[in-house]
Amino acid sequence: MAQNDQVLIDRLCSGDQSAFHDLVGRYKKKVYYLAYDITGDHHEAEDISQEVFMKIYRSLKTFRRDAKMSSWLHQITVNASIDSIRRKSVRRAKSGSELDNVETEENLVASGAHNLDPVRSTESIQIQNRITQALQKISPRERVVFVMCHYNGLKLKETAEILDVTLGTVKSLLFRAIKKLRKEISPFLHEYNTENPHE
Amino acid sequence: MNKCKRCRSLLLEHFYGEMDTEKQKFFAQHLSVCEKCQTRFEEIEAVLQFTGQRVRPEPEQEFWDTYEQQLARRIEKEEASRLGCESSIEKRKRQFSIIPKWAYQAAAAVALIIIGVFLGRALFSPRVPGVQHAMKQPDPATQLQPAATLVHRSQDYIERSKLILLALVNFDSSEEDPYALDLPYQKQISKELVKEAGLLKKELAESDQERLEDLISSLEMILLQIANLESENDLDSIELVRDSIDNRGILMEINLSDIRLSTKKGKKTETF
Repeated sequence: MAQNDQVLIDRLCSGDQSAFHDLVGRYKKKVYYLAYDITGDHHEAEDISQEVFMKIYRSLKTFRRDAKMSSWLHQITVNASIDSIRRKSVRRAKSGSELDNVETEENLVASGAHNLDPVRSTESIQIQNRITQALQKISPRERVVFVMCHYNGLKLKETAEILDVTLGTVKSLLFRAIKKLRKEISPFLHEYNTENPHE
Repeated sequence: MNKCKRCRSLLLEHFYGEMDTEKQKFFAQHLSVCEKCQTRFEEIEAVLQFTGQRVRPEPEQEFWDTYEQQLARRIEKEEASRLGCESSIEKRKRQFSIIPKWAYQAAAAVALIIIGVFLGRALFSPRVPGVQHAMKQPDPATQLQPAATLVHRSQDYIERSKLILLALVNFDSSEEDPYALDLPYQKQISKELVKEAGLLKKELAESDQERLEDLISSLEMILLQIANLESENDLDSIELVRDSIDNRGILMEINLSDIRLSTKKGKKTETF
């Protein structure tokens, strides 16, 4: 556990109100990005990240000194994101909508939610879209494991601990995710390899 | 083969830099001699490299600047609604606290005395033999009861059956979802009513209540059809049952039976 985290936990346990503010400041980006990677939706990620901190705020009184803050935060974020995906798929099934609400670069620009580098080439945007779409095609569990290890810098063991599964399960989910992603991006992969042979 | 298996299990650890030196040594050595594992390694590497190009769209700075404010607002809102809930509970508690404690104690004492008196009378009072004998004698008024209960039970049976039939008759298959009909429940009730019908008919036959017996027989036939409906979406079968209800004019018969029973009651009350 990071030294700073321990100090923060001590402050939280002793009822220091400003500690919560510091906690939000320290972890808001991590929580938001993980939720965004899992859901692929800016607004949902925003909602989930705030929900995570509200949950922590509610349980400050019962927070244990020996608890690992980052693991706990990741755990709550993953659970909230999976719940959100489930709710979304139920809503979609009820409305019979076939529309994919994944935020691609185009609609992010249209919504004005994000900054887009103006010099980014069309090809690059296509690649970004392809990756985003491919990520949405794999199962939520596979996506969770993949984004945790690949985009959020979590170690395999850490991921297993957070998800409360064995290391073997994490590896097998990752292999499955990679296999499916390969299938989704294979046409692009071929082009990419011929254009960038040294990469 | 075992080496390939081990190599495969180490692939991900290699990509995420989680391998110790010993494992790394084995991994590199095996990869240099095993073409199959080398191909697999390259496949995974290609996917991870390609997906590694993903750039997360960064929210605007304003989003991060106002993040804490928005969170604080949400927390305040939640706190306010929680306090609202708590205050209403407190209000109720206060309402109860208006009644003084001694009132509860007095009520409890009175209740204990009443229970004591009741138990004392039931357990310790001497029994008079004559009274016991008299209790065993059937009351002429109660002799009429079985017939009255039978009519009452039949009426209750008809009423319950009527509800099932009305649900089917009023169901519009073109506009309503078949699940709204809750057919499994209707079938279950129909089955129970069919079971009840046998005994009721027998008793009605013994007490010469022919009209009621006929009506219950007709109802039994319809209910049997409902109980045997196969699936919830079988709209044709539902339609057949509805036709059967129409053809037999069963709802009309039920209404007539109601009128007859109510006029009988009216006459009885007039004689009183």
